[in-house]
Amino acid sequence: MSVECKNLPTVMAELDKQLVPLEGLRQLAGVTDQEKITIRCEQLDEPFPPGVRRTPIHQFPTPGVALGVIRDPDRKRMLSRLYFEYQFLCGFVHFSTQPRSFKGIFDQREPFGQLFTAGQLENMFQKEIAGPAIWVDFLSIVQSAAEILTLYPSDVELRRAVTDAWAVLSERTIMGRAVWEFRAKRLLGII
Amino acid sequence: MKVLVHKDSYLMKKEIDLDQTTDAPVMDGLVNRCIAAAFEAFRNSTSIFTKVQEEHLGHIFKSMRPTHETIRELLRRENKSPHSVDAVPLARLQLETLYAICLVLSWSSLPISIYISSIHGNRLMSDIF
Repeated sequence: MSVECKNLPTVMAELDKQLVPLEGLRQLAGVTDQEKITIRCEQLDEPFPPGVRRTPIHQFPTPGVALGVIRDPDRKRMLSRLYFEYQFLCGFVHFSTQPRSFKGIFDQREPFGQLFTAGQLENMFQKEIAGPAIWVDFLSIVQSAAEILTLYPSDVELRRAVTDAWAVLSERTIMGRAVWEFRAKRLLGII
Repeated sequence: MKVLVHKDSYLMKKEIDLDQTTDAPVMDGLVNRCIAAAFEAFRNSTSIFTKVQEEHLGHIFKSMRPTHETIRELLRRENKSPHSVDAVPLARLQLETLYAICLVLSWSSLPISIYISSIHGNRLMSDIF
Protein backbone atom coordinates (compact mmCIF):
# COMPACT_ATOMS: atom_id res chain seq x y z
CA MET A 1 0.00 0.00 0.00
CA SER A 2 2.88 2.36 0.61
CA VAL A 3 3.40 3.10 -3.10
CA GLU A 4 -0.23 3.97 -3.75
CA CYS A 5 -0.53 5.94 -0.53
CA LYS A 6 2.83 7.75 -0.42
CA ASN A 7 1.11 11.16 -0.74
CA LEU A 8 -1.32 10.42 2.10
CA PRO A 9 0.46 11.27 5.40
CA THR A 10 -2.19 9.80 7.71
CA VAL A 11 -2.21 6.43 5.93
CA MET A 12 1.59 6.41 5.74
CA ALA A 13 1.81 7.07 9.49
CA GLU A 14 -0.40 4.01 10.10
CA LEU A 15 1.72 1.90 7.75
CA ASP A 16 4.91 3.03 9.50
CA LYS A 17 3.53 1.69 12.77
CA GLN A 18 3.34 -1.77 11.20
CA LEU A 19 7.00 -1.84 10.13
CA VAL A 20 8.41 -3.14 13.41
CA PRO A 21 5.94 -6.06 13.87
CA LEU A 22 6.25 -6.86 10.16
CA GLU A 23 10.02 -7.04 10.48
CA GLY A 24 9.67 -9.37 13.48
CA LEU A 25 7.31 -11.57 11.50
CA ARG A 26 9.75 -11.65 8.58
CA GLN A 27 12.54 -12.93 10.79
CA LEU A 28 10.24 -15.48 12.42
CA ALA A 29 9.15 -16.69 8.97
CA GLY A 30 12.79 -17.13 7.95
CA VAL A 31 12.67 -14.63 5.08
CA THR A 32 16.27 -13.56 4.52
CA ASP A 33 17.51 -10.00 3.97
CA GLN A 34 18.36 -10.94 0.37
CA GLU A 35 14.82 -12.21 -0.24
CA LYS A 36 13.37 -9.04 1.23
CA ILE A 37 15.61 -6.84 -0.94
CA THR A 38 14.72 -8.94 -4.01
CA ILE A 39 11.00 -8.36 -3.49
CA ARG A 40 11.53 -4.65 -2.98
CA CYS A 41 13.85 -4.17 -5.97
CA GLU A 42 11.66 -6.21 -8.34
CA GLN A 43 8.40 -4.62 -7.28
CA LEU A 44 9.72 -1.06 -7.35
CA ASP A 45 12.07 -1.58 -10.31
CA GLU A 46 15.02 -0.42 -8.21
CA PRO A 47 18.62 -1.54 -8.85
CA PHE A 48 20.00 -4.24 -6.55
CA PRO A 49 22.51 -2.91 -4.00
CA PRO A 50 26.13 -3.91 -4.77
CA GLY A 51 26.87 -7.45 -3.63
CA VAL A 52 23.20 -8.49 -3.31
CA ARG A 53 22.16 -11.38 -5.54
CA ARG A 54 18.57 -11.80 -6.74
CA THR A 55 16.99 -14.37 -4.36
CA PRO A 56 13.29 -14.93 -5.07
CA ILE A 57 11.00 -16.72 -2.63
CA HIS A 58 9.56 -19.81 -4.27
CA GLN A 59 5.81 -20.19 -4.42
CA PHE A 60 4.33 -23.11 -2.50
CA PRO A 61 3.45 -25.80 -5.08
CA THR A 62 -0.15 -26.24 -6.23
CA PRO A 63 -1.67 -29.77 -6.06
CA GLY A 64 -0.80 -30.42 -9.72
CA VAL A 65 2.85 -29.50 -9.13
CA ALA A 66 2.90 -31.41 -5.84
CA LEU A 67 1.94 -34.60 -7.69
CA GLY A 68 5.10 -34.36 -9.75
CA VAL A 69 7.28 -33.90 -6.67
CA ILE A 70 5.92 -36.54 -4.29
CA ARG A 71 7.87 -39.79 -4.52
CA ASP A 72 6.20 -42.17 -2.03
CA PRO A 73 4.25 -44.49 -4.38
CA ASP A 74 1.18 -45.01 -2.13
CA ARG A 75 0.90 -41.34 -1.31
CA LYS A 76 1.31 -40.41 -4.95
CA ARG A 77 -1.34 -42.92 -5.99
CA MET A 78 -3.79 -41.59 -3.43
CA LEU A 79 -3.25 -37.98 -4.49
CA SER A 80 -3.48 -38.91 -8.18
CA ARG A 81 -6.85 -40.56 -7.50
CA LEU A 82 -8.01 -37.52 -5.55
CA TYR A 83 -6.95 -35.25 -8.39
CA PHE A 84 -10.13 -36.26 -10.22
CA GLU A 85 -12.14 -34.86 -7.29
CA TYR A 86 -9.88 -31.82 -7.22
CA GLN A 87 -10.55 -31.07 -10.87
CA PHE A 88 -14.30 -31.38 -10.27
CA LEU A 89 -14.08 -28.99 -7.32
CA CYS A 90 -12.00 -26.52 -9.34
CA GLY A 91 -15.00 -26.16 -11.65
CA PHE A 92 -16.71 -24.37 -8.74
CA VAL A 93 -13.84 -21.97 -8.20
CA HIS A 94 -12.69 -20.92 -11.65
CA PHE A 95 -15.06 -19.30 -14.06
CA SER A 96 -17.33 -22.06 -15.29
CA THR A 97 -20.99 -22.83 -15.80
CA GLN A 98 -21.32 -25.25 -12.85
CA PRO A 99 -21.69 -22.88 -9.89
CA ARG A 100 -23.82 -20.41 -11.83
CA SER A 101 -26.17 -23.15 -13.07
CA PHE A 102 -26.62 -24.67 -9.61
CA LYS A 103 -27.16 -21.29 -7.98
CA GLY A 104 -29.92 -20.66 -10.50
CA ILE A 105 -31.46 -24.09 -10.06
CA PHE A 106 -31.58 -23.85 -6.25
CA ASP A 107 -32.98 -20.32 -6.27
CA GLN A 108 -36.75 -20.47 -5.91
CA ARG A 109 -37.07 -17.04 -7.53
CA GLU A 110 -35.41 -18.23 -10.75
CA PRO A 111 -37.34 -20.04 -13.48
CA PHE A 112 -34.77 -22.90 -13.83
CA GLY A 113 -35.65 -24.43 -10.48
CA GLN A 114 -39.27 -24.77 -11.51
CA LEU A 115 -38.25 -27.17 -14.28
CA PHE A 116 -37.52 -29.82 -11.63
CA THR A 117 -39.66 -31.61 -9.07
CA ALA A 118 -38.85 -31.26 -5.36
CA GLY A 119 -37.47 -34.82 -5.39
CA GLN A 120 -35.22 -34.10 -8.37
CA LEU A 121 -33.92 -30.93 -6.74
CA GLU A 122 -33.18 -32.79 -3.52
CA ASN A 123 -31.43 -35.56 -5.41
CA MET A 124 -29.37 -33.06 -7.41
CA PHE A 125 -28.48 -31.14 -4.28
CA GLN A 126 -27.28 -34.28 -2.50
CA LYS A 127 -25.37 -35.64 -5.49
CA GLU A 128 -23.76 -32.49 -6.86
CA ILE A 129 -23.35 -30.20 -3.86
CA ALA A 130 -23.81 -31.69 -0.39
CA GLY A 131 -22.27 -35.09 -1.09
CA PRO A 132 -19.01 -33.89 -2.64
CA ALA A 133 -18.62 -31.04 -0.13
CA ILE A 134 -19.26 -33.18 2.96
CA TRP A 135 -17.18 -36.17 1.95
CA VAL A 136 -14.21 -34.29 0.48
CA ASP A 137 -14.08 -32.13 3.60
CA PHE A 138 -14.28 -35.17 5.88
CA LEU A 139 -11.76 -37.21 3.92
CA SER A 140 -9.29 -34.31 3.70
CA ILE A 141 -9.28 -33.77 7.45
CA VAL A 142 -9.10 -37.44 8.38
CA GLN A 143 -6.40 -38.32 5.86
CA SER A 144 -4.33 -35.22 6.72
CA ALA A 145 -4.31 -36.45 10.31
CA ALA A 146 -3.52 -39.99 9.13
CA GLU A 147 -0.54 -38.74 7.14
CA ILE A 148 1.17 -37.37 10.23
CA LEU A 149 1.23 -40.86 11.70
CA THR A 150 4.34 -41.20 9.55
CA LEU A 151 5.93 -38.63 11.90
CA TYR A 152 4.38 -39.90 15.14
CA PRO A 153 3.81 -43.65 14.62
CA SER A 154 3.47 -44.35 18.35
CA ASP A 155 0.88 -41.65 19.03
CA VAL A 156 -1.96 -43.83 20.33
CA GLU A 157 -4.66 -41.14 20.46
CA LEU A 158 -3.94 -39.96 16.92
CA ARG A 159 -4.02 -43.52 15.58
CA ARG A 160 -7.28 -44.27 17.39
CA ALA A 161 -8.99 -41.06 16.18
CA VAL A 162 -7.97 -41.70 12.58
CA THR A 163 -8.91 -45.40 12.70
CA ASP A 164 -12.40 -44.60 14.06
CA ALA A 165 -12.95 -41.99 11.36
CA TRP A 166 -11.74 -44.30 8.60
CA ALA A 167 -14.21 -46.99 9.78
CA VAL A 168 -16.96 -44.62 8.57
CA LEU A 169 -15.17 -43.18 5.57
CA SER A 170 -14.04 -46.37 3.88
CA GLU A 171 -17.56 -47.82 3.72
CA ARG A 172 -19.61 -44.79 2.64
CA THR A 173 -18.09 -43.43 -0.55
CA ILE A 174 -16.32 -44.66 -3.65
CA MET A 175 -13.65 -42.00 -3.22
CA GLY A 176 -13.14 -43.06 0.40
CA ARG A 177 -12.85 -46.73 -0.55
CA ALA A 178 -10.23 -45.91 -3.20
CA VAL A 179 -8.11 -43.84 -0.81
CA TRP A 180 -8.46 -46.53 1.86
CA GLU A 181 -7.19 -49.19 -0.53
CA PHE A 182 -4.43 -47.08 -2.08
CA ARG A 183 -3.03 -45.59 1.10
CA ALA A 184 -4.91 -45.39 4.39
CA LYS A 185 -5.12 -49.06 5.35
CA ARG A 186 -1.37 -49.57 5.04
CA LEU A 187 -0.71 -46.33 6.89
CA LEU A 188 -2.83 -47.59 9.78
CA GLY A 189 -1.24 -51.03 9.66
CA ILE A 190 -4.44 -52.77 8.57
CA ILE A 191 -3.59 -55.02 5.63
CA MET B 1 1.31 -33.85 -14.18
CA LYS B 2 -1.44 -35.64 -16.02
CA VAL B 3 -3.71 -38.09 -14.23
CA LEU B 4 -5.37 -40.84 -16.24
CA VAL B 5 -8.45 -42.84 -15.39
CA HIS B 6 -6.96 -46.13 -16.61
CA LYS B 7 -3.89 -45.60 -14.44
CA ASP B 8 -5.09 -43.73 -11.35
CA SER B 9 -8.55 -45.12 -10.57
CA TYR B 10 -9.30 -48.01 -8.21
CA LEU B 11 -11.33 -50.99 -9.41
CA MET B 12 -13.85 -51.73 -6.63
CA LYS B 13 -13.85 -55.36 -5.52
CA LYS B 14 -16.82 -55.44 -3.15
CA GLU B 15 -20.21 -53.81 -3.11
CA ILE B 16 -20.63 -50.41 -1.48
CA ASP B 17 -23.91 -49.13 -0.05
CA LEU B 18 -24.06 -45.50 -1.09
CA ASP B 19 -27.42 -45.02 0.67
CA GLN B 20 -25.93 -45.48 4.13
CA THR B 21 -26.05 -42.26 6.07
CA THR B 22 -23.94 -40.91 8.88
CA ASP B 23 -25.34 -38.34 11.29
CA ALA B 24 -23.67 -34.96 11.10
CA PRO B 25 -22.87 -34.86 14.85
CA VAL B 26 -21.08 -38.23 14.54
CA MET B 27 -18.94 -36.91 11.70
CA ASP B 28 -18.29 -33.66 13.57
CA GLY B 29 -17.12 -35.65 16.58
CA LEU B 30 -14.71 -37.69 14.45
CA VAL B 31 -13.40 -34.56 12.74
CA ASN B 32 -12.83 -32.81 16.05
CA ARG B 33 -10.96 -35.80 17.46
CA CYS B 34 -8.68 -36.03 14.40
CA ILE B 35 -7.89 -32.32 14.46
CA ALA B 36 -7.29 -32.25 18.21
CA ALA B 37 -5.06 -35.34 18.06
CA ALA B 38 -3.04 -33.92 15.15
CA PHE B 39 -2.64 -30.57 16.89
CA GLU B 40 -1.50 -32.28 20.08
CA ALA B 41 0.93 -34.48 18.16
CA PHE B 42 2.73 -31.40 16.85
CA ARG B 43 3.45 -30.34 20.42
CA ASN B 44 6.03 -33.13 20.43
CA SER B 45 9.28 -32.31 18.72
CA THR B 46 10.50 -34.06 15.62
CA SER B 47 13.97 -34.03 14.16
CA ILE B 48 12.58 -32.78 10.85
CA PHE B 49 10.89 -29.50 11.74
CA THR B 50 11.78 -26.49 13.86
CA LYS B 51 9.52 -25.45 16.73
CA VAL B 52 8.03 -22.62 14.65
CA GLN B 53 7.36 -24.99 11.78
CA GLU B 54 5.67 -27.49 14.11
CA GLU B 55 3.45 -24.72 15.45
CA HIS B 56 2.55 -23.72 11.90
CA LEU B 57 1.68 -27.29 11.05
CA GLY B 58 -0.50 -27.59 14.15
CA HIS B 59 -2.33 -24.43 13.17
CA ILE B 60 -2.88 -25.70 9.63
CA PHE B 61 -4.90 -28.50 11.24
CA LYS B 62 -6.73 -26.11 13.55
CA SER B 63 -7.68 -23.93 10.59
CA MET B 64 -9.45 -26.90 8.97
CA ARG B 65 -12.05 -26.89 11.74
CA PRO B 66 -13.69 -23.48 11.02
CA THR B 67 -13.77 -24.34 7.32
CA HIS B 68 -15.47 -27.63 8.20
CA GLU B 69 -17.99 -25.73 10.34
CA THR B 70 -18.66 -23.22 7.54
CA ILE B 71 -19.33 -26.06 5.10
CA ARG B 72 -21.73 -27.58 7.64
CA GLU B 73 -23.48 -24.26 8.10
CA LEU B 74 -23.91 -23.70 4.37
CA LEU B 75 -25.39 -27.17 3.93
CA ARG B 76 -27.86 -27.16 6.83
CA ARG B 77 -31.25 -28.25 5.60
CA GLU B 78 -32.89 -24.98 6.58
CA ASN B 79 -30.16 -23.01 4.79
CA LYS B 80 -30.54 -24.84 1.48
CA SER B 81 -30.37 -22.12 -1.14
CA PRO B 82 -27.96 -20.82 -3.81
CA HIS B 83 -25.59 -20.02 -0.93
CA SER B 84 -25.13 -23.75 -0.30
CA VAL B 85 -23.28 -24.09 -3.62
CA ASP B 86 -20.36 -22.16 -2.11
CA ALA B 87 -19.70 -25.09 0.22
CA VAL B 88 -18.01 -26.87 -2.71
CA PRO B 89 -15.09 -24.42 -3.15
CA LEU B 90 -14.51 -24.62 0.60
CA ALA B 91 -14.20 -28.40 0.31
CA ARG B 92 -11.56 -27.79 -2.34
CA LEU B 93 -9.64 -25.71 0.20
CA GLN B 94 -9.69 -28.68 2.60
CA LEU B 95 -8.43 -30.99 -0.14
CA GLU B 96 -5.61 -28.58 -0.97
CA THR B 97 -4.59 -28.80 2.67
CA LEU B 98 -4.24 -32.57 2.33
CA TYR B 99 -1.96 -32.07 -0.71
CA ALA B 100 0.06 -29.51 1.26
CA ILE B 101 0.44 -31.80 4.28
CA CYS B 102 1.55 -34.67 2.03
CA LEU B 103 4.06 -32.44 0.28
CA VAL B 104 5.48 -31.13 3.53
CA LEU B 105 5.88 -34.67 4.88
CA SER B 106 7.37 -35.97 1.65
CA TRP B 107 10.00 -33.35 1.24
CA SER B 108 11.48 -32.79 4.70
CA SER B 109 11.35 -29.24 6.01
CA LEU B 110 11.84 -27.43 2.71
CA PRO B 111 8.20 -27.05 1.63
CA ILE B 112 7.05 -25.83 5.03
CA SER B 113 9.76 -23.18 5.01
CA ILE B 114 8.64 -22.20 1.48
CA TYR B 115 5.05 -22.16 2.71
CA ILE B 116 5.85 -19.89 5.63
CA SER B 117 8.19 -17.60 3.73
CA SER B 118 5.87 -17.32 0.71
CA ILE B 119 3.05 -16.14 2.99
CA HIS B 120 5.37 -13.50 4.32
CA GLY B 121 6.68 -12.66 0.86
CA ASN B 122 3.12 -11.97 -0.28
CA ARG B 123 2.61 -9.79 2.78
CA LEU B 124 5.78 -7.84 1.98
CA MET B 125 4.63 -7.35 -1.59
CA SER B 126 1.24 -6.04 -0.54
CA ASP B 127 2.93 -3.75 1.95
CA ILE B 128 5.18 -2.29 -0.75
CA PHE B 129 2.29 -1.98 -3.18
